[in-house]
Amino acid sequence: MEIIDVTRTVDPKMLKWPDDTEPPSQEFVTRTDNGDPATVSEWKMSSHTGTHMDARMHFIPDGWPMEALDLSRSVGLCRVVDLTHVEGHVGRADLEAAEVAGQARLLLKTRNSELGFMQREEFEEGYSAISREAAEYLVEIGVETIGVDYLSVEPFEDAGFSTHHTLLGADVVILEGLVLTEVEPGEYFLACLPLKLAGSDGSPARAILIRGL
Amino acid sequence: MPDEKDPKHPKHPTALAALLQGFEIIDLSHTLEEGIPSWPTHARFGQVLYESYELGDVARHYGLTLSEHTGTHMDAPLHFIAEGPAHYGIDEVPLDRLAGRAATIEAPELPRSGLLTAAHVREWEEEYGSIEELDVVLVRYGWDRRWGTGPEGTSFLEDWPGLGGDAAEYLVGKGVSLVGCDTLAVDAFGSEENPAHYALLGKEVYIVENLKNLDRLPPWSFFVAFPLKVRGGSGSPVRAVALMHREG
Repeated sequence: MEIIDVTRTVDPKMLKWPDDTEPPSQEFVTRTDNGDPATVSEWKMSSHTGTHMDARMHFIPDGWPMEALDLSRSVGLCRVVDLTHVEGHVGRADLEAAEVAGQARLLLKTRNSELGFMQREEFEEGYSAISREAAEYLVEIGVETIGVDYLSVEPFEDAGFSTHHTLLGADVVILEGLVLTEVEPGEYFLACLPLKLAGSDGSPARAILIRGL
Repeated sequence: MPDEKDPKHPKHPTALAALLQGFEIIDLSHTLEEGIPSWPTHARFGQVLYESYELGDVARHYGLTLSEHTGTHMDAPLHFIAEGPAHYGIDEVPLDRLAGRAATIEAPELPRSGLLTAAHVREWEEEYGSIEELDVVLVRYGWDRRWGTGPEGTSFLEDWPGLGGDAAEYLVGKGVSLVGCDTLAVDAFGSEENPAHYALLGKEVYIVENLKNLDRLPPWSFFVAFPLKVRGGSGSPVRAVALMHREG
């Protein structure tokens, strides 16, 4: 069994969404270096830090919060789709050409992964995301879980957040911030178990892919 | 024989997905919410609303405050091990050690601050079979019944039982990969020496604390918990689950 970790390490110098949220911060409570018996620190971070899941309530009032996630949405067979050739945002035609219909869980590997965007410290506005028409196509073909290799499924310039509204409106589970650089396109078993946060719109998560038995 | 990219190949992920169809996921994690029991010296769990549609923003979004040992969580070796090869953080814990066959040992009858002994573990093995290398061992003290967000949760923080040093050494000798419990700590309340923490973490046996629902598990199940990848973290909250065969 081969386990591939597709998670961005959380640290105070990591990239973050360029609005009002602070980067993760770590504060030591006790540490063995200072003669304390144990090392413990506390963290402050956005619920959308690094590799994370969006709950439906992130954009949809009355949508389900994190603790109500059906774990089968993020644990099960998935396909990593090669879209590294796509310039700009992923469009409907790109998905049609990749023949993704029939898959419940899709992870889109784009040029973001080739350029190592998720591993950087600075936010990159020029990331590749999912266009509104591509999001509508994903809903049309019955995709239940969609994963992307940057901090948002939304094109940076879409002020109306139509991709989020389209996907979360149709109750598609969104995984953002996956690190797919070392992942060959193909079929895997996805295991992503986010925190059971009461009433929360999202959660940082550890995401792994398993190949073989 | 089809090649490994063919869904019919026995090593294709389809085989794992098909196998898991026969299993039910049991959530072993407490919900993270304000007021949950915490070590007196640790940060309390909290969520601050940054923005929301009710406030005229486009989306709802929280900031989280959490100790690395909030709620159901995993201890990394560096939590107690100050130097040497086992001085490493939660981001470096090998993932293949965190999913495995799990023995659930029942110990709900221990006295206040009582210790589970190696003899107790051996008796369990005589009844249910030998614990082997790379197994996970979960101990159910029944302590999760005391969990709560109000005054009812304070009894969770007093007098809990724990793993005796001899039992911890015995499990280390077996080569188990992880030990879990439904109490705040693997060592009993009031332990100054923390023998179980030192024995287990010193040999890179990982620890998961504050589990719940262990009463739903049969003597053997399959345990999975992956921590957040927090650089150099002494631990991390986890979503811990067990897989058990569906009835019927």
